Amino acid sequence: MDLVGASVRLRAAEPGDAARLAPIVSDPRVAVWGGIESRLPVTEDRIKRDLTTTEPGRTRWVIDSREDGVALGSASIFDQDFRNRHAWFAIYLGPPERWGHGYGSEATRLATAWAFGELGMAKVYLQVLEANQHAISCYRRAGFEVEAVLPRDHLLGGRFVTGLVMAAYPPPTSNPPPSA
Amino acid sequence: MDLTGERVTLRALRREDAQVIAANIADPEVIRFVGGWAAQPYAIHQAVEYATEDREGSISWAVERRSDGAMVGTTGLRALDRQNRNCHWGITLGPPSVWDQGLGSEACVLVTRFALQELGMEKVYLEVFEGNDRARRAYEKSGYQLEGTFPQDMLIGGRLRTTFRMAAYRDHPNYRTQP
Repeated sequence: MDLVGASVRLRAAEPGDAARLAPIVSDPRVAVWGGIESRLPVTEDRIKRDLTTTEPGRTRWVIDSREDGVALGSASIFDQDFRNRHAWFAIYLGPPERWGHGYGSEATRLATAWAFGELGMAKVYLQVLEANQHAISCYRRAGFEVEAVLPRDHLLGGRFVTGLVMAAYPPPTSNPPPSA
Repeated sequence: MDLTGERVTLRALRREDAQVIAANIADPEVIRFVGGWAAQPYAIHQAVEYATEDREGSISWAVERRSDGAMVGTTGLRALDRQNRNCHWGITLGPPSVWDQGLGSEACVLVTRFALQELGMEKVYLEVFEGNDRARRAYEKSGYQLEGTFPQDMLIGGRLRTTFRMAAYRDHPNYRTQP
C-alpha cells in the first residue's frame, strides 16, 4: 500500500522514476550527504536497479509531492532485523529548492510508523553526518534522537567528520488491556 | 605474520582449531554476549569452514596462550572500510576458565595496534552488550572510549538489551607510534 501524508505520498517505483530522480542524485548539494557511492557518477541504470531490485529485509519507496505529483526522492527501511526488532531508515530528497517544506520529516515519520506498525519493530535507526543540520532537524521533528556521536567516522572532502546515530521508538502501545 | 605479546600469540587459524571454536560456541556461558547468531546450533563443519576459508573484508586470528600453547579463542577485524579508515573488532574466548588472565585485553591491544598502525585505520570500534561489565572495563583499559549507547538493541534471553559502542583512535597514547 502507499503511505500517504498531508504533503507526500510514498509509493512503489514506476518506470521513468530513474530519469526523474537522476538529476537529484547527481546534484552535489544532495550527493555530498550520502556515502561514497553517492559521490561517484551514478547512472540511470544504477538508480533503476536500486529502485526496483527486491531483496529480503529492504523496503523502498519513491517520494511524491502530493501538491504537484513530482517525484522528490526515495526512502527505505532496510536491514530489517526481526530477531532484535530494529531496522534502519535512509532517505534522499531534492532538489534543494524543495527543502524546507516538511516533505522530508513527513516521509521519515510515515516510513518509521510503517516499520513499527507493519513490521512490529521496537526501534528504527538512522545515520547522518553531524554537519547535515537540515536533515537532523527533519529527523528530530519525526521523533528521532541522537544515541551516538561518532567522531572521525567519515572522510568528506579530505577531512574526517563526525557521524551521528539517531533512533526512534514506537509510541506507547494503544492495545487495550486484556479484559478480565 | 603472527602478532606476539607477553601472554598471547595471535596466528592464522588452522583446521585443528575447529574443535575449540565449536566448543566455545556450544557453551552458553561463552556465547552469552556474542549476539543472536550464536543462539543457533553450530556444527563442527561450520567451525572447520570458518577456520580454513578466507573471507573477503575480514581478518581472523587464533588466540594462543603462550604459557602452554593452548588455543583459547578467536579474534578478528571485519567491516574493513578502507575509504573512511575504520573497522570493527571482536573476540570470543573460552572456556570460562581462561578468562581473567589478561589474554583478551592483550589480544585487544595487539589487534587494535595492528589495525591502526599496519592497516592505517583512523579508528577501531566494537560493540559490547549490557551486563558484560568485565569486557567493558578491559576495553577501557585498552584505550577504547564510549561512543554511543543503544537501548533495546539486542535480544538476549528474551529481553531487548542495551548495546554500547566503543572506539579506539589512532592518536590514543596506547597506540601512538614511538619516535
